[in-house]
Amino acid sequence: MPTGFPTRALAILLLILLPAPLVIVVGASFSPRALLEFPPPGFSWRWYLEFLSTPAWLTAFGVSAAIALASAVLTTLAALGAALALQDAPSRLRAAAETAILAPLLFPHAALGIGFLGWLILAEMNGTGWGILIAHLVLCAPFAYRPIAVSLAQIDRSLPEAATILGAGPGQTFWRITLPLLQPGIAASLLFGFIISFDEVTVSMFLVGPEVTTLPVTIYARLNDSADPVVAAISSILILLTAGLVLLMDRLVGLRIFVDVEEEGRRPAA
Amino acid sequence: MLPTPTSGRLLLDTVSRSFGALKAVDGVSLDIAPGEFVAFLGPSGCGKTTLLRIIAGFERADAGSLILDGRPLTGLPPNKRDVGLVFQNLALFPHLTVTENISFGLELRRESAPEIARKVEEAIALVALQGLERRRIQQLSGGQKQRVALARALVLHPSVLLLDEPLSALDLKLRRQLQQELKTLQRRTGATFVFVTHDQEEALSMADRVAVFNQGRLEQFGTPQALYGQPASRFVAEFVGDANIRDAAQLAPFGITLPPETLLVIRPEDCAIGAAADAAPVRREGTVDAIDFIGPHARLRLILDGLAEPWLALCSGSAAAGLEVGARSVLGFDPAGAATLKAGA
Ligand SMILES: Nc1ncnc2c1ncn2[C@@H]1O[C@H](COP(=O)(O)OP(=O)(O)OP(=O)(O)O)[C@@H](O)[C@H]1O
Ligand SMILES: [Mg+2]
Repeated sequence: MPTGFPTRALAILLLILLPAPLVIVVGASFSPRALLEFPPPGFSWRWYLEFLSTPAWLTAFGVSAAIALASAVLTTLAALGAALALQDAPSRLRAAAETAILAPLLFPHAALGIGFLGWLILAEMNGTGWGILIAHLVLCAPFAYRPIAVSLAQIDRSLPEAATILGAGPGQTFWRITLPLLQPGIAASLLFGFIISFDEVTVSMFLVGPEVTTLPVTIYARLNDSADPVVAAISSILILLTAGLVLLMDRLVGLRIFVDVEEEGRRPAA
Repeated sequence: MLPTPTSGRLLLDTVSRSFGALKAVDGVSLDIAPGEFVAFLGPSGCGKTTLLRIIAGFERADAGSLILDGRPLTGLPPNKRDVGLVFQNLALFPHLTVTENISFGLELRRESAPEIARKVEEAIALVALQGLERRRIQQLSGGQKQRVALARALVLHPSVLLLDEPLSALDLKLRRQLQQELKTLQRRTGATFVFVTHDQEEALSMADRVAVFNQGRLEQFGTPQALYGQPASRFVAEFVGDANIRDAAQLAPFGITLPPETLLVIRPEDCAIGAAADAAPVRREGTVDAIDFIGPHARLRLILDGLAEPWLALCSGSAAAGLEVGARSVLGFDPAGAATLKAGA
């Protein structure tokens, strides 16, 4: 990797630009006045209290969290099944199935939103949490499948065989060997699934209804008619939650999968 | 006291396996005795791994049968065969420690915790890994990993332990050392060992009997002495050590008459050079074409007068002293001591 001046300058620029929006949002959330401004003219918890005391906000938050949790868990389970099934599938079938799973990455979200809306109306599920969940499952699928499939491909084929010859049945091999070795991929899948679903605006906007709406859609709607700092306060809470989640995952399984898959090879042999 | 091997008799009867048109294993029959150390020897791609995987149960045989201690193996899954396997790449579990790798099979058998601990400790002592119990696999050296793989398989006391080129990734010195250790381990455990290698020296020095394979077929199954002294085919004669293989026409100038369709296998070390050749029943003069001093020995290639095919000879360094490329010398041998082959075999 060349580390000449242009590369370094770019890296430094990125390091400044990445947190820049966060500084504005967090700063503005503490404003005592009813206007989004930065730097804030003072310090207050006013907008945090407003968020916590408004049932509509809390409901939207709860709906988003529930959908995100369900999306993360369900897509991870589905991706696990798909990756295991496709591992030994004929390469043609495998390629076709992978294209289908990764397809949501290729289409504009607005187009997907209209498409989902059409189907959900037919199924009489538009404007329900289930409808949003179904859409989110599709949107999260590529992000769940990729890390799990990559993790699976990294497991040496002889490991399950070694477990078998040592006496393990197929179930024992899966629980004691395959699953533990898939841990980084599964963690990444859960994390991606949760964050992507929790953050999703465009598609959800088509699918929300008078009874059920998600937090990002509510924020977006609120921004359209007033720019008060409650959205900054909510965003700050989300930033905190996301950071907490990432840290937790890192603690539990290590986020090697994001950074470096060859850590083992680099560790000095003792 | 060494355990007397009572189990581990493995019978293979015309076992075959094809991949499409390729006959990877072609009608192999073997009778391996309890506690025997057998090497499968052959060039790359001759079907050694495939046969080993058939014995382990990971690959099915298209035809033929396998019987272990009177029990047919056909249809039994690998985890029910009482067969151990040390993989070529070892296949140690990277998420487990040394102890956890070794105790894996015992835990599956639901043995009691103290029993498992005792057996693991025993296995660790057997392969001299004391002190490394809690290490993770990637914190071990190549030789240490090798031993964990051995301990993991041996702790279950399989009647037959299959080893697929377990030493091929190691450097020569470590390899020699582990060859010795493996041999000792095999005697101590009394298990039948089937050891795959394409290194003939390794096979001949370690095994009680060696099975030589070529293109899926068993060429010969015998003791190292038998393979060397009475090769069953030209392939074996050439694969196991060096050989001068000559037909009747090539031997006529020596005054030797061979029955038709017969070849004579004259080993280089049975060829005498220079003054030492005077005592040999047949001899012929020639020119040194190449000479190689290897330790105390000298390996020579000679072009004998009137003969196209060069001859290989191995003699002591002192016998070859003074010889150089282009020098004249004499090569002699005793045809009575040479093995014969059927031409075309
Ligand atoms: N699953 C398979 N599908 C198709 N062909 C195979 C398969 N497994 C092995 N073969 C072929 O069968 C032949 C024997 O392979 P095998 O791995 O048994 O050789 P080997 O003697 O172990 O060689 P090496 O010393 O290189 O390990 C080879 O030609 C190989 O390409
Ligand atoms: Mg092989």
